Amino acid sequence: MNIKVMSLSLLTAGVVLTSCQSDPVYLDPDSMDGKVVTVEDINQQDWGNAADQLTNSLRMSGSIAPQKHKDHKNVVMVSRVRNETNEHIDIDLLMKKIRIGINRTGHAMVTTAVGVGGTTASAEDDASKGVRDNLRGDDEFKSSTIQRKGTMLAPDFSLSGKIIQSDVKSGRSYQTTFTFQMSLTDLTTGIAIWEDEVEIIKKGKKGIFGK
Amino acid sequence: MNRFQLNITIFCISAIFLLTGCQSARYPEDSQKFVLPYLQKNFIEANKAVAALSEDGGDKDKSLYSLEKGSLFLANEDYQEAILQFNIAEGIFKEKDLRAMISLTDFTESLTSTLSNRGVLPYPAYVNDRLMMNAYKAFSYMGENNPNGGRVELRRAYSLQKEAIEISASLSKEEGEDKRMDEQAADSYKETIENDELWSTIADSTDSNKQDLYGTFVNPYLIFLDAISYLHSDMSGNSLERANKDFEWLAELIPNSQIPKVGKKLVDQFYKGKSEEMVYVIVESGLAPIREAIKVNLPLFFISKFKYVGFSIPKLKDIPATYSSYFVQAGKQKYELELVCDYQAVIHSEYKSQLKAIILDEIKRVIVQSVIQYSLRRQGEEDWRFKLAADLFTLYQVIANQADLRSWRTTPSKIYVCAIPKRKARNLVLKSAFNQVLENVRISKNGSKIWYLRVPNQIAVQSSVLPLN
Repeated sequence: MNIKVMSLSLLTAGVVLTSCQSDPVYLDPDSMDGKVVTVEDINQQDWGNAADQLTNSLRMSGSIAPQKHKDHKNVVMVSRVRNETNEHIDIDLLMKKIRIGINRTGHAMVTTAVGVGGTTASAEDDASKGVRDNLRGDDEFKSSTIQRKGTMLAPDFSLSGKIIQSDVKSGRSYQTTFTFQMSLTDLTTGIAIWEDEVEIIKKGKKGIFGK
Repeated sequence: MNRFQLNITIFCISAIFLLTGCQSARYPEDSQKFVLPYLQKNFIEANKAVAALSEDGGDKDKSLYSLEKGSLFLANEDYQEAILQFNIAEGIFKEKDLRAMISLTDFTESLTSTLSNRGVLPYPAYVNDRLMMNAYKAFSYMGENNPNGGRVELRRAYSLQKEAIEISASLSKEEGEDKRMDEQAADSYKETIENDELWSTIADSTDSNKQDLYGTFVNPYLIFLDAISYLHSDMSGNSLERANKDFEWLAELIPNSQIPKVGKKLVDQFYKGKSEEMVYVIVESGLAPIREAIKVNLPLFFISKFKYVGFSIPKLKDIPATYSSYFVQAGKQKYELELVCDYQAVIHSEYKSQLKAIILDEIKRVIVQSVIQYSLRRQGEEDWRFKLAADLFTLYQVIANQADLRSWRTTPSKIYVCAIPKRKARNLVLKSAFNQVLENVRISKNGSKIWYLRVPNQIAVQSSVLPLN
């Protein structure tokens, strides 16, 4: 009898404990459906949303369309994008999407050889400069295969921006606004030829009853 | 007493010892296990001791021990591990912030503490602990050569501080309106427990001169760090304005100090495009106050229905600092460090803001436990088992009458700072007022820096140079 009761209890406990779990599922990265949303963080869908809106705005503005060079497309460098939020975020989650968008416009291409402050030291990929500095004069390499001087393309435009967070709380409600600001500067004139901002506002409410 | 009764008694007493949160009452002694090695600059031993205590403390003290571990790792310049530990504590605090207004967890915790004491609750997320945690995390990120990550932490602290001050101000306003009611309520508590000595001890439990030095939840140290972090970030108008506002706020808090004046001058200079690389010397001196218990036991053995009533609250005890002033020798010039934050006062202020809630909790506990004791004794007149239960419960009350004495020990008592232009000298020597050399450093060339020093005593001077930009 006791064994039966114990078995039944264990079985019930097992069912109760495992019934809360659901099978993992794949989600569409381009859709909002089924994704976890948190108020105080920038979620995956927020990065996508902000990047899409900013890239569309840049493309529609036609700022990078006029070709500055006969033999190649305009070159865009990514300068400083400041994180002014309360979260430790990887700015590349936004910038990589925007760079892909810029490359896809067909009017411009992004350089990885020049970075923040217009230096090669802060370049996303320091190999462009590195192979020149390190391999020239190295007998181990066939000299004709080493990149020649004066072949790198200097940027025509610089993309910079800022992500700002502002929080408001009132009673049980709390709201966070993430503002994504971007500017494209024509490096010939120093004028910002395109600027836009995207706001993502999220609101939550503390439950009255809970765990 | 037969064998059965004896067994029950032994079992109950053992259970009581395990469940009553005696550990939190022993915290000042237990924490010496890591504070002493810390004071001998033996961070490995200190961390071992914290890890051992953390295992014994279980989940309820996890956030506290993570703070201690993080602080020790920071002192030992193991920044990555420090961030990891602070993230654990932050996660626990955040989980509590997001709890529902009426949560089952809070209810269970409240019930448990009513039946035992506040020491059985998870370590409370004190505002000042959280602010200091952000400061230490900021230093850790800077140590990892990530000053932007440091700024994120300082922004978090800034938001938290602003929010806490606003809440405190609105509560004070409500308190002002309800002052009459409160006074009446306080009188009735005092009538409930007629013990003048107790009430005067409670009144003396915090230093009234210190508690309102800056205002509740205001920590000038964090404002200073925010100011210098923005001053040396990107030189944009926005950042300089933030630094300017911070220095203005600081000037209100420490009106006689030169620190905000020097800061404002730098902001003006930077606005004119004349930026300058600086070294900010920060000395965290001494150790934060510890908590001691004010314990009132009323063994009422002659009153048949109540054998015991007890009451226990924590009291802050300051630890005297080894040094009360410092200066830095930079080449031929001497720079005297100024007090930017009396951290003892900051802790006293938060303690005072919570004292009322602690006393109310204690009164609630005494009433509930007295009702249980009374009922058991009444039943015990007819049934020996209830009498035994009443006796055990009395014993339990005596043991459970413990104040929550947990506090973050490896924080300082006072914080001193000074600003030195890097062009003046890059070889700096920290000296005490008696010209005793405490530490020296050579500051590297690029960028503005923080020379961060901890001087808990004369032996354990620890220093690191952190990049600000």
